[in-house]
Amino acid sequence: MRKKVVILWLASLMVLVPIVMIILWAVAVKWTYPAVLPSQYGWLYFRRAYADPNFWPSIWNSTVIAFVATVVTLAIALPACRFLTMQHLLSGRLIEFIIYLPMILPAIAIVTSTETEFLRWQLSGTYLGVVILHVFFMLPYAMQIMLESYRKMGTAYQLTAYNLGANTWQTFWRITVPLLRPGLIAAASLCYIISYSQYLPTFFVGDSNIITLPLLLIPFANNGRFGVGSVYSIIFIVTSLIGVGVITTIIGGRHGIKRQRN
Amino acid sequence: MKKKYLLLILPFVGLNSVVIIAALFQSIAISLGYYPVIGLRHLTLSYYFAVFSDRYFVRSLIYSLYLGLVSTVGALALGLVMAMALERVAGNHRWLARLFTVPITIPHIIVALMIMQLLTQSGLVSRVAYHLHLISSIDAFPLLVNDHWGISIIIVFLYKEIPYVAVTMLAILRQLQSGYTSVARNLGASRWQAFWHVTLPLVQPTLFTLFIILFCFTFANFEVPYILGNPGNETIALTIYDQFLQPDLQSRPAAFALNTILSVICLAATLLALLISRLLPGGKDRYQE
Repeated sequence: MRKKVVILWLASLMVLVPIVMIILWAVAVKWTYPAVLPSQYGWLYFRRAYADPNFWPSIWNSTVIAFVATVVTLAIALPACRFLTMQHLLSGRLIEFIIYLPMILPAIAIVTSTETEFLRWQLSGTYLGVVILHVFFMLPYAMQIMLESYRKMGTAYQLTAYNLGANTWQTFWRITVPLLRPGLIAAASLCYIISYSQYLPTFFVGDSNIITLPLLLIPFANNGRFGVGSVYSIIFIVTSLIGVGVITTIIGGRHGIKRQRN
Repeated sequence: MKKKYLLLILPFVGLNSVVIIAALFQSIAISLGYYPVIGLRHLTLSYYFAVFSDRYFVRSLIYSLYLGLVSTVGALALGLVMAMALERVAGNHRWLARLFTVPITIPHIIVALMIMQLLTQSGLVSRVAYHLHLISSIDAFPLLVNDHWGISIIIVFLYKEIPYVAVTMLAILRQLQSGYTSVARNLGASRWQAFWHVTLPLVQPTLFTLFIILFCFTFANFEVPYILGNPGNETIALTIYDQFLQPDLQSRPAAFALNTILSVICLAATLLALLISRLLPGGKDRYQE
């Protein structure tokens, strides 16, 4: 047992060190070789990042696109999962394969092919095009979680509601959604973060029109500009967590139907 | 089942059709030479031949395969080890276990930056080595970033994927009734025998699913090799990226040929992994519903 605790401590340390590095680089003003800690601290890199004209637009774009894409993903995933749990035609294996296809096929191939197609339909450079491609990449994760939730929920509760006279809309909002809440929260959070982290789809389909945080971050990372890069990384993490928090609150808290207990 | 229920699946099918079927279908057509936009209308396999005879493309394919396999196999092995360590210990050390899962939420781009800050010649490890008198000057530190072996790329993938594998396998391990291993030990099996003959066959379907997901991701990944890679030694995704950034549309058919080859490799790897999983002990009973 002792050996396993040691392994856990070592692993956690190895996880922690890179994260501490980002924080240190963001607040360092002077950190030359070979010092192990910065010699001067300050908000220099934060000010530089803030001065970039793309600072607020990229945060705005990332947030809006992620929000819209998450809503659309859930709107597509929920009815699809309902359909898939009801039908008996296709085997479970085949369904899994179709759902996971966006994760199996190479992203660069999908993105470049879609960009070429969107050019013809004049969707290139538009928010709609970017959202569509984000949703495509987010669907497998959402479907995986919601399918599991639908299977666990079963059909009994809804059938009872129908029996007692509720119509489809009422059943959906009063019975299905509260029961699915934990799954919805998990799926929505995951989808939001995935959309927030996308680089290739936004880069190609956005056509340099639409700048999101990852697009802003990569040139700094590429050029080894640790200071500003770390600042943007921290902003990325903080704003994505805020976004996830807002979505979680909108969907309604972590307690599923236990919430009705008051 | 009433016809109107088909409406439920329509958005899903619609989106997938637009992206997968239409886009990839078009890309296959272009790769075969049918590109009316620039006047090509003859179907031909010449672009595929050109790709396979170009040593640069073949080298980037092999390099990508190497990175994908090493990262994925490493992540699966180490992740499984961590899952087994966590299984016993996680209850008492909950915060430690939570900390260990943080990398799952950090995007690859940021992890690439972190590893760069650690492993470049002016990075933290080099500085610590200098203080420990392991190296005498900054140049003596080995090249780990933008290097030939892609060491920092592999480390980024390991950093992200070991926690992911560990968390997934932990959930699976917990689901298995631990009774099986206890019975095996009781009947005289050593720890290794219990692991190899009881635990492993029970978890191997999940391991293979994880292999498919992780391999296809790392093999075709763009962002991490873009930041940490060696310009003389590109991965296949970088090659395709470069081709598509060129304004000259003449190079598109070859680029789409690369896209198709890449997709076929991913699909083939998936089917191969599923087949092997089915043939190994523990594979057949999975879908008996």
